[in-house]
Amino acid sequence: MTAWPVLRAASSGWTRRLVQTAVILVVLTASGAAALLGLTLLTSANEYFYSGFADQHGAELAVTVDAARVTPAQLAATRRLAGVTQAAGPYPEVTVTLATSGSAAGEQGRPTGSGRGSGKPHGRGAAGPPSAGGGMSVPGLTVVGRASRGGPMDDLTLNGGHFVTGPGQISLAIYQPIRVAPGSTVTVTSAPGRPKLTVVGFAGSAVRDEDAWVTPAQVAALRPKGAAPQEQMLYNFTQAGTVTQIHHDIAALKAALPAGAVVGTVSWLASSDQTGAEQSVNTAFVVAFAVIGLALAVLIVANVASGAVVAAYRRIGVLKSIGFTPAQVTAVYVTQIGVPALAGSLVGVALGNKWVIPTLNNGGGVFEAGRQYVPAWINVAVPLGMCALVAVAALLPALRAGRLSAVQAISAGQAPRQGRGYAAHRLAGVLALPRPVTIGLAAPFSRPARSAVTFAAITFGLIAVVLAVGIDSSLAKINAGATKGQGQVQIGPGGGAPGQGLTARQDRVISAALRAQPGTLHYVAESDLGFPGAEPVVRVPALGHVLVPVIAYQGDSAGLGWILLSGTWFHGPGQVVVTSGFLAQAHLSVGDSVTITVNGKAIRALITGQVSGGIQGPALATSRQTLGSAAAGLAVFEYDVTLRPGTSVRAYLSAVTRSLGPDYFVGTPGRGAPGYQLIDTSYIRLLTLMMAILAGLGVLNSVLMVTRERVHDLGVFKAIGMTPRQTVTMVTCWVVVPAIAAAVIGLPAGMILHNGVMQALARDINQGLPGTSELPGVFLDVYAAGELTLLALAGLVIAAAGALLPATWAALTRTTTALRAE
Amino acid sequence: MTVRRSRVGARQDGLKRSATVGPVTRRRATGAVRQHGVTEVPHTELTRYARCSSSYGGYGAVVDSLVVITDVTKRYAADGRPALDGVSLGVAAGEAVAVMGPSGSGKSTLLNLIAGLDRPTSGTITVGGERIDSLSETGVARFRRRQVGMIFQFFNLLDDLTVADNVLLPAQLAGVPRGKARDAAGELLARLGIERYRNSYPGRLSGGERQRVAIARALVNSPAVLLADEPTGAVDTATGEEIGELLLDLNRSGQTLVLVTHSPDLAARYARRVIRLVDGRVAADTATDTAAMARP
Repeated sequence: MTAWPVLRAASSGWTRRLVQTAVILVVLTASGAAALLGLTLLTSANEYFYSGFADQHGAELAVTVDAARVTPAQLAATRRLAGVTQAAGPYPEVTVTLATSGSAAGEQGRPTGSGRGSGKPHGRGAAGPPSAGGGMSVPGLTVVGRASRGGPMDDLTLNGGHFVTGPGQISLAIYQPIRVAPGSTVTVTSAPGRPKLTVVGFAGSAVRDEDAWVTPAQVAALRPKGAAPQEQMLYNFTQAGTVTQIHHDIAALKAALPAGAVVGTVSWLASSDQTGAEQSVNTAFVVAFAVIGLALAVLIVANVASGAVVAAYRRIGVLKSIGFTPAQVTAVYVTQIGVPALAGSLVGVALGNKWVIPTLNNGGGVFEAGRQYVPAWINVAVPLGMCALVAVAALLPALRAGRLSAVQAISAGQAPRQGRGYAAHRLAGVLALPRPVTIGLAAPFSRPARSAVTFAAITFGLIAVVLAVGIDSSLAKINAGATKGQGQVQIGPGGGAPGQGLTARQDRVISAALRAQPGTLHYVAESDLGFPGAEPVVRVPALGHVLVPVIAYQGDSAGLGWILLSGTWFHGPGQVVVTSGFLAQAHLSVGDSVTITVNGKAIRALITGQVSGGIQGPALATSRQTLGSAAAGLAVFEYDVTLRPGTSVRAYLSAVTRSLGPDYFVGTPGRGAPGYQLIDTSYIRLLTLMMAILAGLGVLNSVLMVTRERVHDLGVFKAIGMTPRQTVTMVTCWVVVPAIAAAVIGLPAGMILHNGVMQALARDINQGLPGTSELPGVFLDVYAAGELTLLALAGLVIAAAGALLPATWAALTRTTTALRAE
Repeated sequence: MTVRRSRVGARQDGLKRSATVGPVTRRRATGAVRQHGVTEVPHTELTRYARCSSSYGGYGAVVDSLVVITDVTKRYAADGRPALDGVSLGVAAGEAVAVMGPSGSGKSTLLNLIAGLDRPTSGTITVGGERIDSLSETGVARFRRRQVGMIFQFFNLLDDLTVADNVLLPAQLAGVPRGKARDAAGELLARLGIERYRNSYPGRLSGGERQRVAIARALVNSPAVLLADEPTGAVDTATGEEIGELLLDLNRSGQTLVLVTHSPDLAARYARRVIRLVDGRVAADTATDTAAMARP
């Protein structure tokens, strides 16, 4: 088969059908980009962590030791322990409170990115960056002395500015909450003399143990008065791939060192989970949108292909009459569709790479930018896969074209079409609506195949919009719910060891300050129990060895606004509320009794309610009275304050901070639920817009094909006096019935998909924690009746937008040209 | 069969009669030659005929005609041969005019221009006192509803609509009240002998029946002028004669008719005046024997 005639015939098709060529190009570009994004996130989220971790010689375990309890020789000996393959350190380490300028009048936050236990129930009080304020004070930051970014282990990335080169400088970790420009000054408020340091840059560690770096000599000056010197050791092991293996490795280290020498550990698994979570949280909905995009692409391409053939029957007849073989005719149409499809998918892959790489590199910035890339096999598979889909969609109509005889093709191109949709036209004719409207409403029934494509395109677009609105609403509810139960303002100790509560004096000072503030409506003292290594030790026999954080309130906590999923808040001693994870793991229900042991003392309580408050896993809230004497001496961790309506949060924070001074933490609860806050809603919006555009293009193409097929009828309408506006109205009304049908199908389908995607998200984020993988219905029931109506109208808008261009073309077509068309 | 007269024909009935008398008398006085059933007036007499084709004389006739075309040129390509080249003519109310000529002579272009389906490159066109060459697309569509009824060679009916709906459509587009439109359509279907097909679809009708439907559709808004482009071209001879008689009857009732045809017989039998176009110009503009015989 000679290629040139085929190419020539195909290329003239591109130029004669410019709009359809452009539609194929845009559709394949958009769906190719979405497919690449989805496939990359689906298959490779953690591959980047592993490759980046290896590139940066990450440490599998970072251990903080009390330097006063261990000698250098003992530390050195741990390098030779069985199972240790590599070790680095010791690096001097200190825990500090950093404040930025304006922090007296601003809000304060808690560290978020460090993998170390913060002394809070997982997820509470460390749930995302603090809300915007004039300055910040962040306690509990781990600062390590490093002479350079490189080393035998744990190469640090550079994410802006430069690394510390001398005294008075600090490099902040990219994943901690302080965001200031290089050159800014931070104050170490926990250190004697409150030294100031200049922020010279941002860096990242693969293991995420450190929150900042200074020169080794600087560390001693930052140590709080009376605090023991600490050092960081880094280790790799022969076996450290699971939590069990890590625990075994930690146990071996503790056994090799004096008792109490190991004060903290951070494993690479937490960082891996964090990085993977940051990417995989986006996977569920990206994949959903990518599937919608692919379905739309197939639909549109098949429609374009069949339309190109049907519209060109006469041309096919002419080609055959001048000597084109059936195979050549088939090749013409496959090429006519395939070349713009290939071009579109290649552009889509390029755009997808540009789009997805920042996401891959957004693993907390702990890996060198540009090191993360889309695997080569995905870059090849996506365009090949898209072209294969296109080839399948285009092949059948192209084969049909090839099989037509020349005479058949020419006469088929000229024969008048059989009328269809008679009943619909009769029914529409009796409606008391303008005639162009009734003709337009009935027209889809005359072209059922084209109308089905229009309907499908609108349905997919509507599903995407419904999904996006639902995800947005669910995330808003979940993230808002995470801050419930913490009041509007939180006040606690400004420094000290993690998990250390208020002293009795601090307790009195805070209470007095709160009583004196006119904006205070209500406050509750909160004590948190049950975090590792701290007293008192809390156990729930029904949960075995699982640690159970307990929040004990002193005062009326019912108004704190926890989200009750079932039952009621506790109203007196001997009552508790628990999380879904608690009930699932303990195999209990609301109304059951449960035994809690505090420092070995058993306490029996009634479960009155099931709550959600941003806590993953099992947790329990109750009153101090329920704990009874077991709570004797239990320090208050923080005060949760509810403000009078109309009180400015910012002004209240300033006033309380001025009243208490810098030694206290005064701030608002962090926004967002762990994991869910990582979801990139800009992705959702961009993908939704893409799908809506694709759906609009699908409608445009379908309506364009019908207007081309019916151009003669349009000429007749215009010849007997239809004005341009009436023509636009009529053509636009062609899509109304498919849009209504699409709403009937698309709305419930979108809602079902929303449920599925949110549950998949919950499973990804909660990583199979029992009782947390199923999202409660309160977070899924997000579609109000009015919103559903608007969403249905969204389908109509998509449809009308897609129909407008062909409608305008129809109105502008010269009547004489249209009448000559057959 | 009687057909409702065109509005213009009804108003100008008295004027129309006097307009038809004059040319007959003058033509015979100049010794015109009869050729192909059409009495041709030598070209030197053409201008006088055109000027005197009504009792008004001179260009007064052109000005008072229902359709006035003045120095119209139509080019489809800037450097191409014009489809019409400086054509000036008038059609009086109640006239039946046949436009003839070889392929590419500009017949259909002339018809399209009168219908407002196309715009002249230069020159002016006035129909029923309304200048149409400068109207907007919307304006010209509204003009067509009111003033023009079009009949096409291949009928151009809408296959999705019944016969009745096809006929009603121009009235519905013009916003005629439903009841009034239905009455008008029903009357037309009855008068054209196709009422029994009102609920049928065009695809099931014969060519002659479809053309009757097309004629009914063209008449439903009582247009000032009926334009027919090869109305018998797609039907057999017998049916063509039926259609021709139908058009003749319409014209006898006062309907102004402009008819494009290849057939000299059709022109001779059903038109009273023949305009011959060659290469976009009026080569002849003559009364036919039919006109000579038919006029009192």
